[in-house]
Amino acid sequence: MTAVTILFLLLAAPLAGASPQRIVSGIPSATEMLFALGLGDQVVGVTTNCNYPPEAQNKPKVGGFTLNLERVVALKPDLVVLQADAQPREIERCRKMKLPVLALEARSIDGVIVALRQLGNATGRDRAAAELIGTMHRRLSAVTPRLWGLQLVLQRPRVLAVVGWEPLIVAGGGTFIDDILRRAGAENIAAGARGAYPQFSREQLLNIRPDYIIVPEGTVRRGELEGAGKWAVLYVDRDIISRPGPRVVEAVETIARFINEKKI
Amino acid sequence: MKRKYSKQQSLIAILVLTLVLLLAMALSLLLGSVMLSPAELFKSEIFWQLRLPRVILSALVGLLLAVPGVILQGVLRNPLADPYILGVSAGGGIGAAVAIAFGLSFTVFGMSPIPLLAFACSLLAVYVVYKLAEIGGKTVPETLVLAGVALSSFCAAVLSLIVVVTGNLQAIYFWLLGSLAAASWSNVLTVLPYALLGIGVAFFYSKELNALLLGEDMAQTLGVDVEQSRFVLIGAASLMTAAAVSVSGLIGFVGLIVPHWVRLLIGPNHRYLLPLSALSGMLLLVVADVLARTILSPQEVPIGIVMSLVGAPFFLYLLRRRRTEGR
Repeated sequence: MTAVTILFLLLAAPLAGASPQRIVSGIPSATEMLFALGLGDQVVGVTTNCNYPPEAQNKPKVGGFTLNLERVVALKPDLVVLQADAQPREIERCRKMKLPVLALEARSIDGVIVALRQLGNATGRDRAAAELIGTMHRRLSAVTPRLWGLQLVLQRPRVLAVVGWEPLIVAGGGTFIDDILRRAGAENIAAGARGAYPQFSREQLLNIRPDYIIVPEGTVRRGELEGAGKWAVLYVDRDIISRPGPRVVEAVETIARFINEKKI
Repeated sequence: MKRKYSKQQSLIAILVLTLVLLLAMALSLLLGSVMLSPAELFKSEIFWQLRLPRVILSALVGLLLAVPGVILQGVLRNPLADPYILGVSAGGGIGAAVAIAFGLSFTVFGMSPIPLLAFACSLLAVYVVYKLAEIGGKTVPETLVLAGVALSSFCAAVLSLIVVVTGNLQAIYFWLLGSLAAASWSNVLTVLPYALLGIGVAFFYSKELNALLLGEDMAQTLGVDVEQSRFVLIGAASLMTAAAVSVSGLIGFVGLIVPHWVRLLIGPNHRYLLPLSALSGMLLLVVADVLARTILSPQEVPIGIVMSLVGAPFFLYLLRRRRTEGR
């Protein structure tokens, strides 16, 4: 029995040691994860939308929303990281070309953590992933206790995340932003609406009276929302609130801090 | 008025266009977002697995859109008819949207859900339109066109509803703009029979198409079975368009403009109009796809955009020149 185990370990060791050296990231969230795990040097290709961390922008580009498969193949990657829910077609195209694909599933904050663990495992960076996840957990739980006080549980601040103006589109239940709001201790008042990103009328907006409105930067011109009702408006970096990457913790912290400071 | 273009000239045109097409295809194999030296070209999988099937597919899609354009403009005697006029695009759009929105995944004969559902719904839409326009065993071209337009706007509304409810805007939008980025050998093999069969049927029926141009009564007098040839021709056109839509999404402009363009050059005889339109459609798509692949590299521009952006002004130029010369 022990002999078998030792044999297995001997056989498995080189496999575990062979970590990918030429990684292509096909989506900004994956790029952020790869760099956060210290794999910046191994990344050989990113998309034109990958703007964080800044040094990612110097990497060769393999496409924008759709991947340019010629470029990907030419880079001879030993790992292509994509996002399962957002890129089914790209995954299929890459697999057809027999490229080693890692498809991450990250629709929520827990999803990001699972994805980080998966990515760490696939790249031989389990330690780095565990550390990063630990830090994320610590920061997330530092946000919660202050907000999960009895009073707040009974009366969570009512928040609306406006992701489109003209027409007015809000983040509904089950979306990534919805998860961020909940982690920040807020109640997403659009969570019960039909559809992931429902369209609201201006009348509805006035009628449901959110206490706070969260806006990804660049969605609404500053000043337009402030005058329209008795709510406080917070503008959040578009990338940290919409990308399922490690910086999602920043989004949670920013929103929680804002809600606490401006307690109504 | 004496006939401007003889049989000989038309045959020469076919020959020249074939040569130009082959040249364009050869050139487009050399161009791409990755520059390959001739030495490594034939050894690389970029060439064999990506570029070659894509160039061949673009040519096939060009044929599959241009020929139905000729057929439908002839059968319906309507200069605004394009391959999508009977609802193919609308049906295909719904099929693709359903496949994308509900994240379906299965394969039938190596075809994935998006092309498969697009193809099936395209044909279903045309069938409904055809049945709607059939009154007392006869189909009236005007009713056919109107039924197609009405069903198309109905389907467009359903499509929008799917987008709004499921929030899958981006994927569906890109599909609607048309793209050949997903080209593969299996796609090529899927559409090849439709291309061969379609052009065969159309060519076989070119006499009937010529007769139908003279009007239904005249065609009947000339011994053409109007109902039967109409059914066969529309059927062939729909199958071809549906095949094209299933692999490339919606690429506008080709099917509408190419037939007019060729008619301006060689006249309305379908015996020459058909092959020349097929060749022009292929050439146009091959060139447009090279542009789509390269102008914003590494990003791809949806080919439908390239097509209308370059093709429409060129057609207008041609139209103006002909009209002023003819005065």
